[in-house]
Amino acid sequence: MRNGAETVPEAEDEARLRAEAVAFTRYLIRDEPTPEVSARYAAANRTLLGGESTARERALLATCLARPWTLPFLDAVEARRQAPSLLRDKVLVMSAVLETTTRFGARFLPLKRSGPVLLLELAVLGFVAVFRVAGGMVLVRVLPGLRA
Amino acid sequence: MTDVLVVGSGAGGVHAAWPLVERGLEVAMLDYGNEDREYASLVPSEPWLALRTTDESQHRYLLGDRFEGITLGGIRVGAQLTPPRLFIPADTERLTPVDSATFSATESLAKGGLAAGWGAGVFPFDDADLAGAPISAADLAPHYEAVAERIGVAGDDDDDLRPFLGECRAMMPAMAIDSGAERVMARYAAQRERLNAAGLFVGRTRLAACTREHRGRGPHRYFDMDFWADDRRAVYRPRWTLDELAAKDGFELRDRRLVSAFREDESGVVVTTTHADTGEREEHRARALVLAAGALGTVRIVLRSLDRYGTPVPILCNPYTYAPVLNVGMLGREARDERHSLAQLTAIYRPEAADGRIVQAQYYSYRSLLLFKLMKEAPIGHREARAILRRLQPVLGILGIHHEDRPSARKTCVLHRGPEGGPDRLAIDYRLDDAEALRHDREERRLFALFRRLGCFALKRIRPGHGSAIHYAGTIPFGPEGKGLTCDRDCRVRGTRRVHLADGAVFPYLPAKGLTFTIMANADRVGTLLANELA
Ligand SMILES: Cc1cc2nc3c(=O)[nH]c(=O)nc-3n(C[C@H](O)[C@H](O)[C@H](O)COP(=O)(O)OP(=O)(O)OC[C@H]3O[C@@H](n4cnc5c(N)ncnc54)[C@H](O)[C@@H]3O)c2cc1C
Repeated sequence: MRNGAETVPEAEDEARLRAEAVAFTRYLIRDEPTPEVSARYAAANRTLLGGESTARERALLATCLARPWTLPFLDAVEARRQAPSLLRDKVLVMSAVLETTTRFGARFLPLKRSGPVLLLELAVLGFVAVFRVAGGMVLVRVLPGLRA
Repeated sequence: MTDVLVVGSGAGGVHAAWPLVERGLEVAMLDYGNEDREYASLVPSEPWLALRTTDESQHRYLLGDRFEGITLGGIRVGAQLTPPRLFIPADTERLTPVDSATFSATESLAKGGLAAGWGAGVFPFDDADLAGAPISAADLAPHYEAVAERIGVAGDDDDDLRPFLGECRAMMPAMAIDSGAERVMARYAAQRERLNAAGLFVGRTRLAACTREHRGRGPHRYFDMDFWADDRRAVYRPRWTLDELAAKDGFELRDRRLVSAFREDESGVVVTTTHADTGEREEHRARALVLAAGALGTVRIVLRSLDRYGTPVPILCNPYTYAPVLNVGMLGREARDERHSLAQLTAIYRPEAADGRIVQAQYYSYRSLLLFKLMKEAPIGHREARAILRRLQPVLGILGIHHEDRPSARKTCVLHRGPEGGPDRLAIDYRLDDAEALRHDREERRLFALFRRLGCFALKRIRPGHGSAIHYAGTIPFGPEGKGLTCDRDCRVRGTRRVHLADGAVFPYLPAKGLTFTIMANADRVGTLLANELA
């Protein structure tokens, strides 16, 4: 068991899982999940993520749900840590669920860009990605319970 | 009485059985026989992009009903084993457990074995590749031809790979390559002489797939669905040969049987099995036995039968590295939708002063294995990862690199008796020595440098760990008379009268080429020899 780990109650609160589905869908594709997508996300969580989580992992999740603007930063900073992350796992599960629907799947399909436009967009996205990590590093220091 | 029992319905088993049945012998195939009963019927016969926007039930086979297509945690072996292919390794953790801290083994108890999901790359061995074996490429030549006709092989017969792969009369026209691979080939053609002088040779991958109608299969329709479904059975699976065998007189499939051991008596061979559904123990008798349970499955059966628990035997598996690459030739270009999902190109790198030794790489384009799996590996937030990877996907390729493997005292497996009522456990210890690891590192760097000349820039080097190539061999290798736990030229296990091997277990050396086509050809040779003896 990981440090400070606790077992998530078996019947994880359906309402909380649905709230996560909403927050993660908004974060990932700036859209609202359909009830079917939320239900599938909840089912995937129960199947794949019903195990243990640490106090820090729960705090990260709670912060993202209470203050959705922190999610892009905390997800980015978690990506830099080479450690298991419940938040990353949950966002990945949401991505998988969204990608395999007819309604949202197109947002995960390849985009065609001309060479210069592609390079410009990659530069902007790269800058944003780095900014998110930097912002995340600050947030983990100032918000309670998030330090590794 | 049955003439021959064949254990295993994989690449080795079906091609060993074929010549025996053709000669009119009575053959019974014993196999555990797992199958996909869940997903195959759900996957529409449609191109990848079309079904992604129209098929409401795509999540069922893309993610799996138990979300088994979402893998959390570290890098996993066998990304091509998607939910519709997960019947392939099913039950092996429970029934054929492996203990190892250094090697991850993927085995199969499925109809068709591992090749029910293989990449279908076909690479005949030459004499150098058969080092240590008492057979030559000339001995295998007629069997390569017979197997090529049976399975359907598509490729170029006069490209730069021909000196390494030889000619194949039964070959169909090569599979069309996708836009990314076309760009690589265009750059290769422009610098061919210089690249050849540096030791690099590139061509379209020879694939066990039909580009025209052949034995009721194909032609391939370029739906990019090869990791998910078997459209028109265009890509070869041993199951297609099994279906053909099942329609012949003299062949019987006894599936749902887990084979534990064999023994010989005056009348022939007796094989003991346990029925998968009833748990009933049974005995099967025949004049001869062919073991083709995979290099690991076969060594279990041999060590158990000869009561050689605790005795270390060798194990080989090609060391494997892969790298996502940016194919800059695709920048700003439109990628054609029609494509196959298998290896587009094969590159053979012959390092200087390597005595004919080669490194082999396969170039794939990444699309139909879903974006979220790439997002997981990106060291940035998921939102930016999605945005970046969607833009990069048309220029993204994967380079999979195989190295040769030779036996050493650091690469062994040992069978341990299982606890009361439990299965025996195979303990594998596999470590490279420093010289091997350094050589791989050096040759991969050189290969990446050569690929940069082809416009492909490696982003990251990923070593998924020993065993990840899923090319297992060398566990009961060809060996000199008097040496135990080896086999003779006819692949007969030394110390037995009529127990033959027809899988990767017999090869004492693994070149960097995939071995499965050679497993099939050698199995055809073993079946032919046995047919001559028994008929
Ligand atoms: C994703 C993937 C891609 C690959 N790509 C390539 C490629 O492009 N080129 C290449 O050359 N190779 C490739 N390979 C490797 C190739 O699939 C194997 O080398 C080949 O399938 C081995 O065939 P086999 O018949 O020796 O053994 P297996 O395929 O392991 O078959 C063993 C058979 O024996 C049966 N069996 C085992 N134990 C028992 C038992 N105790 N009782 C009853 N039945 C038993 C099983 O049910 C199965 O039918 C790939 C493998 C994978 C997984």
